[in-house]
Amino acid sequence: MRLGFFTLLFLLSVPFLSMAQIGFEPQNELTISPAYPKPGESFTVKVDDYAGGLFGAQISWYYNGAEVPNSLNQRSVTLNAVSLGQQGVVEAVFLTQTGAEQKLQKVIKPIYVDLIIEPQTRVPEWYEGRALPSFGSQINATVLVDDGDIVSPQNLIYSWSMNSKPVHGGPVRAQHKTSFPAPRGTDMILSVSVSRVNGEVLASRATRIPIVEPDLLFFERHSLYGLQKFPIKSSLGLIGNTVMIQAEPFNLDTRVYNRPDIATWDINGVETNNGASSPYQITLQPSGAGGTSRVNFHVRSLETLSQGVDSSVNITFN
Amino acid sequence: MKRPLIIILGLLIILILVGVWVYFLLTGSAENTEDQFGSLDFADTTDTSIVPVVTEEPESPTVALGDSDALQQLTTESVAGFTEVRYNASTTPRVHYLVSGTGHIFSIDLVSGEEKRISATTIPLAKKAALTPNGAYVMIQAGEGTNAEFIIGVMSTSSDKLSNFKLPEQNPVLSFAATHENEFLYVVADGNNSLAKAYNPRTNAIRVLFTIPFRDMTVQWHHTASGPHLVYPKTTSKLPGQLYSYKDGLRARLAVEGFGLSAVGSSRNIIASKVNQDGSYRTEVTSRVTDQVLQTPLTLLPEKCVFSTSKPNEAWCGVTLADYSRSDNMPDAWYRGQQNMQDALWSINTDSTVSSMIVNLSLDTGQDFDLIEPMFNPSTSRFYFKNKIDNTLWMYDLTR
Repeated sequence: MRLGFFTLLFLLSVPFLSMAQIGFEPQNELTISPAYPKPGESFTVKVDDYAGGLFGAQISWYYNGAEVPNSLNQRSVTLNAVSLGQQGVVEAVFLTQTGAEQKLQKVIKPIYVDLIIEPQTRVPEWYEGRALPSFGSQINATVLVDDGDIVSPQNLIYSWSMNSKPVHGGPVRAQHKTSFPAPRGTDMILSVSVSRVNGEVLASRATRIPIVEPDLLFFERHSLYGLQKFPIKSSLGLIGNTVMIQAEPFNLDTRVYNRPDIATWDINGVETNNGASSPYQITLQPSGAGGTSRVNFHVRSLETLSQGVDSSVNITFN
Repeated sequence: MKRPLIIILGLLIILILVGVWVYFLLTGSAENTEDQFGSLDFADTTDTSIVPVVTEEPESPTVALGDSDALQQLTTESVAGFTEVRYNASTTPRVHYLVSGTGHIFSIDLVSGEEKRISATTIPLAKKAALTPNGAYVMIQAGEGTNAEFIIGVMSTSSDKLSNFKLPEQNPVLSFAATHENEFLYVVADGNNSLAKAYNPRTNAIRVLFTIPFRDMTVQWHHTASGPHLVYPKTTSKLPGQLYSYKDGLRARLAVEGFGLSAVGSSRNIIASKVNQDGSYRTEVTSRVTDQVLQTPLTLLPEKCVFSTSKPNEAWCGVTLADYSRSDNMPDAWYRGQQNMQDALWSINTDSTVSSMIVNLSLDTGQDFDLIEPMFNPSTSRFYFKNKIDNTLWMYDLTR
């Protein structure tokens, strides 16, 4: 009975002990959203009066010394961050009913922290767009920090996380580049927090990365001009004696593209020798009476079965 | 005279004529092909010094440069690269272009329309080329992917042979262009980074310009090596992009970013298109001086725009009037070749976004027109571009 009483007393006292140890006291403060605005970005400042004492107070807002228009007695204001390399000072001045004045201040140093995502999947060489990651493929990410001067990555601490799980097991110095496999699913969240070596957090950024399935387009290939820029839509009319077709997988893991376990062509359901040095090309020539043939290409990894794609095109000849 | 005597004389004449005919048949053949035809007395055609200009047929094919039409089709062949060349102030301006596939180089006199082949050296699988404005050098990409070769060609002034050699680079070239200073600028992969370099074909010297800390990038080259060059990660509507400027080797972040970002700029303004939060694809102009952003009434692909070389607030763009929603998957669908355009040529004042149509390319030419690779000549008197559909070269002459 006595043991139970003391145990209960101890458990009830833990929060107070913890608060006393870390010096926690509710405070009145200004909080901003987003927490680390970019130069010129719109942000909202609001009053968090956890300590109380501001009930009924008149609130006036100032931004870099100038009163914010139409802000009297508002609990929040929306402002635009200053330019790169400058700092903005937001002040909220409270005039309580007793005539006491209290000021809260927030200093904002906008900074660019850019996340650059480079999926290591295949797109055609002429393709001007960026590849997208597919399940199991590698994703390279680079963070670039610019606070008005280019900040050397050597002097910064990076905390990477993927879907809220640390990538490197925790903060790492100078690791402004990272690489990780695309997880299963339709998307993922990559976030990074950048700090100086003294622990001052410069900014945090997060981005959603889509995970897509590889897809396949067919292109006509000319012996002199190379690959045509426009894909064969649904069918191709064969005009000459032969035609070379190239299958171009989009967003297939580059490792699978370079060493596919399966890379097969079939015509009307019959597996066919492609007659070309590249497994992604096939040379076709008409035989017998005219008509339409269905040409299919299938590329896949047997290790990661979703790393593959299968598609068909109709070839019409006379 | 007796009747038999008349018959004998007639037979005798016939025999003599047959004999003469047989003689010429067996012995009288012409010694050269010219003797086989009767002389029409065109005089001595080897004397080129007195060829009358008015009546003489041109020896070279000519491009039909209309007197009044400002819009001109310069080639019917697929073009890998082109530039305007003016050897000196006294010579007429010319367009030099390199033909896809063969790598042959042609020159069109923009006054007379005369076209001649200035390089008959075949560069198989020539895909892309940059030519210097002095008409002396060319950089060619032949082949694609891991088989691509990057070749420097030096024009001959005395023959139609192009002396050529491989660009002294181990790593694959990701992007290249020629400057007004007759150098070549290019980017090579360097581990997870990219290195921008300048190659001087006159001295064969290579110098590093700047490092880009990623590889999947698009470079909008400036016409000088020092820049500013615009760089952004390759575009996709599914991932964010950010715009950087490199001037004298130093990187600066510009206040332009967004999903599906692509951009083109001058010293004054930047035209950028991106996917908005509602999923629509829109275009805006950002001032490089004040960072002020203006929405443009036209939605366009910045790859179809170029700023005037003399007016930094004026851009000419190929524009297809359309509102693109999320389902259009722009600009990815255009890169893939799944979305074709029906372009008109527009002039845009980027200070005010006031725009005016110059010519409706699709309507006026009666064909699908998807404008790419726009370029002004240095004096902004001529505007060059290609049609993505067939890679033919076109010109809009502002002086007509």
